Amino acid sequence: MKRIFASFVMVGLTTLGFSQDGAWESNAALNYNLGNWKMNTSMGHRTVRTQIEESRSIQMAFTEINQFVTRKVSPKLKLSMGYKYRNLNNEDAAENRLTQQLAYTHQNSTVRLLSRFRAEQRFRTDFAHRYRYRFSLDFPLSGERLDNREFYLISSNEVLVESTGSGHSLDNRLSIGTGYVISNYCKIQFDFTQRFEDLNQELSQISFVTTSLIFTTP
Amino acid sequence: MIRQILIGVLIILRLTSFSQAGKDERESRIKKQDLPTAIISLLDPYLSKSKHIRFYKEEDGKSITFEVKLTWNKKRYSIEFDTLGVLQDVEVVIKEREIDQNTLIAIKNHLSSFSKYRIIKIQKQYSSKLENSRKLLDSIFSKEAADTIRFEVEVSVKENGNWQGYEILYSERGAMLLKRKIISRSSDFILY
Repeated sequence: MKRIFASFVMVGLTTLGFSQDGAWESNAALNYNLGNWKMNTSMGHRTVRTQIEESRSIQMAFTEINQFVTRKVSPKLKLSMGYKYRNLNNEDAAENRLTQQLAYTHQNSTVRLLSRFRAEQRFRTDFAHRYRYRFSLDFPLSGERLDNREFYLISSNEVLVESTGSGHSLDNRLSIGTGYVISNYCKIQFDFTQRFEDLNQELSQISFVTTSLIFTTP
Repeated sequence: MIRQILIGVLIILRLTSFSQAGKDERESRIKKQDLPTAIISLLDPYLSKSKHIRFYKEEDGKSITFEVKLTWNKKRYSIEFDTLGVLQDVEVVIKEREIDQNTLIAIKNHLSSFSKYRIIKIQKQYSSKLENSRKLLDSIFSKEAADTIRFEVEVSVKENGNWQGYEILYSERGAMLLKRKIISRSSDFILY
């Protein structure tokens, strides 16, 4: 399993190293309960690397803080509301984003299948409506149950439609990753995501490597 | 600054992994040859007629058990052994309609004490004090009655306004014997 994890890291970093445009995101999240509500607080940043002809540049794109509150309304359905604040490095205005989320678990056995619908209102200097649908699966890499000191695999595909005053765009984000459960309270995760942007106009691609440190209180 | 953050993260990781010591449960998939030979020789006559065969080892810090999961006549079986190869119990996934009507009514009456409930999975559990494990397996696979039959019901219930999973063990007549909270796999990394 350690080899699988190491392979992911190597493939991700190599892809990022050779691709034209790439980004590295890292975040730390804390999940905790407040009464019957599940809370998720996270902080993160994105660093992007761009290459224009011979010149390469690496710069911090933003730092952000997120807050989600989730309620399980049935054994398979969870509703969430979220708020994101992004401090954009290259723009004067910061970004504020509101999120409404619905997550439906199709199957909760060894291989878990989950659909996630999101509606977002993004406020920058302009305003955008964003709608996302993500289908994801995850499963433990050893046995049927995910225990401490075990690896898991997670993969997803997300379609994103963004609508602004000047038109709309269509993106697709394909992701695969692996995580390691250090203890009941802590996990680390490594994801590789390929984003296909502006599918309905001029297609561009960008590779993302994301590292996450996730804490969960009992 | 970065060095201090890294040291802080490493300390937290170390502390959280130490805090788990002593109550670690661990289930892992193993190969057939990793099973005790007593289990292999006991199961071999059935394995050739089974599909989707998986072997697992479970450790809870105090004891080790081995579990074999297989599909026999389109039914999913879990067969549990101790390290000496002695059969502990056999579970088979069944549908509600396969339970005796009076037993099902008794189980549902008990579940009605929760404001809402959804049955996720029902398993019929066979066990025996017989030392002859092969005889018990023969009786189960040939659909004859075993010594003791119980029902293990995996259920999601609404309790104090919150949905919670339980594994509840009922007697053959539907009397509750044991109730255990299910700690489900966290979904935080797939939700956000």
